[in-house]
Amino acid sequence: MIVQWCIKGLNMQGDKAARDIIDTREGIICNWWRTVHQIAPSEVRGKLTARNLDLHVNHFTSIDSATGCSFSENTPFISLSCGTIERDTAAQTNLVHRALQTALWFGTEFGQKTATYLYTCWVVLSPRPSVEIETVAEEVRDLNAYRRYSSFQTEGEVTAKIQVQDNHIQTCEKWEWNRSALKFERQWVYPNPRFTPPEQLSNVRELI
Amino acid sequence: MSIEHLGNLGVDPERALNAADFYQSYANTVQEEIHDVDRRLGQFQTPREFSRLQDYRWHLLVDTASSLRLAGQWALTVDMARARELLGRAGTIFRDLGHAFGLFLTVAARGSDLEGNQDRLKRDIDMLLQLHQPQRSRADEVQDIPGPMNHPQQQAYLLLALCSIPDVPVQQQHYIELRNVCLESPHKEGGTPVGALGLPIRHYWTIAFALLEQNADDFLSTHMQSFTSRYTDNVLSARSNRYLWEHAAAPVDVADIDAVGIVSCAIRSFGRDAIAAQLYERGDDRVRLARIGSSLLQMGYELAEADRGQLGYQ
Repeated sequence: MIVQWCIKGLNMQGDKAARDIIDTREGIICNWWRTVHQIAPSEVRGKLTARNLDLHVNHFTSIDSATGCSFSENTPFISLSCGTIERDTAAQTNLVHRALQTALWFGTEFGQKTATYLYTCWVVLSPRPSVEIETVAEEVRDLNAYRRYSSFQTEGEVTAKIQVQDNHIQTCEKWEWNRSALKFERQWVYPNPRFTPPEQLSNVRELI
Repeated sequence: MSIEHLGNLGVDPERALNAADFYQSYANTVQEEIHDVDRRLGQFQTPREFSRLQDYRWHLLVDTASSLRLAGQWALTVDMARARELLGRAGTIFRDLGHAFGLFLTVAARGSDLEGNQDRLKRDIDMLLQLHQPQRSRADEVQDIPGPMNHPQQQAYLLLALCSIPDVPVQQQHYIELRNVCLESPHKEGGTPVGALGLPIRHYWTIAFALLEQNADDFLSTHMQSFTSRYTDNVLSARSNRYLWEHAAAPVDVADIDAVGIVSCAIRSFGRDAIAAQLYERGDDRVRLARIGSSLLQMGYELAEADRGQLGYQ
């Protein structure tokens, strides 16, 4: 297993709502949970399918024939930005797509909002596709694992499932887009007092 | 850019402006990060940390240049003067990193600054000679070739940029050297893909030769048809996902910088009237461009126009 640092960019109603993700210990939950308010473990298994992951990554706003609603409203997945490298064969160079840029782009709703909240968090990744296993995230940016062509590979996405637990979130940062100065400014950093560092999962063993 | 052309592309001007603002803001933010890295590089660091910071600085520079290029490409649809400035800034950084693509961008956006810098012009031409015809290179002036220049794509951008400098054809020695590179390089028949559209390198080589030879006849219909048809295909495919296209979030370039840059270079080389006549003669059978492709070429024309009367424009 791999521990991966990620950024989640969210557009929230205000500072309190943004901090509540940490303060209420709710963490970051999927849109499906948000939409129906209550989910049952027995339902989760049916949601975590390869088809749904493909809809989430490649057809997020398409109408899901199973529900008649936009898939985004009922997705059990959570997109996280990790950055990625794009191999540009035409230019014979490798392009870097940083997590910060992607998180700001989505957090500002494609440049339509001026404030966004960035959550720095970690997830445990499986090195192979394991969509049915709730406790590991999917590295959909990895072409060795997810081999079918996706137009969105350069978003550098790692996909968490159902919830990013609150103790995986290190900080919440508020970023303001200063349109007149044309730059992004970090307004504040809100650390999570209950954060658990991933180093705890290290596989280096001490002597007995 | 006219409302008609924006309509052809299906681009909402407000979204395009948002995207240009976003990428420029991001680039400015990363530049502040570079200043911070520079400050740390100026302090004592262990060799390992120093090396890591230098590597990180390189990534940040590439990120800045790429974001400025993206901002410039979006600005091409709404504000040419701004596009010119952004693409010029991106070009300067790429050029400093050893990518000839940067020279192509600066020539397309701002005109060449090589006319007044004969040493640099001579060095750039000799770099092409060393790569293509080492026997003709001035042996006493062998220079280190930047790593990226070993790739055919970067050589194509360098050749295009040099051949579009207005006074190169009249400088006999430079003209002969560039002509030899155009005619004798294997790339003149090569299939290596270049640019976001992935067109074969031979197109770029042929266009460079036309620019050098001042051969403006039927330039757009002869040389730009392959660009416009592939661009049109890409845009129509991307527009099938209306949500992403309308949110300026589709993973394709809204303005293909190679095509736009080549048209701008052609105007600098041939003069405005020669290209304008081809672009606007709608009834002329020589130019049968789809509306989307026509909008792309229009951007190149307007980019050069935005620079009229300024550095390097004829």
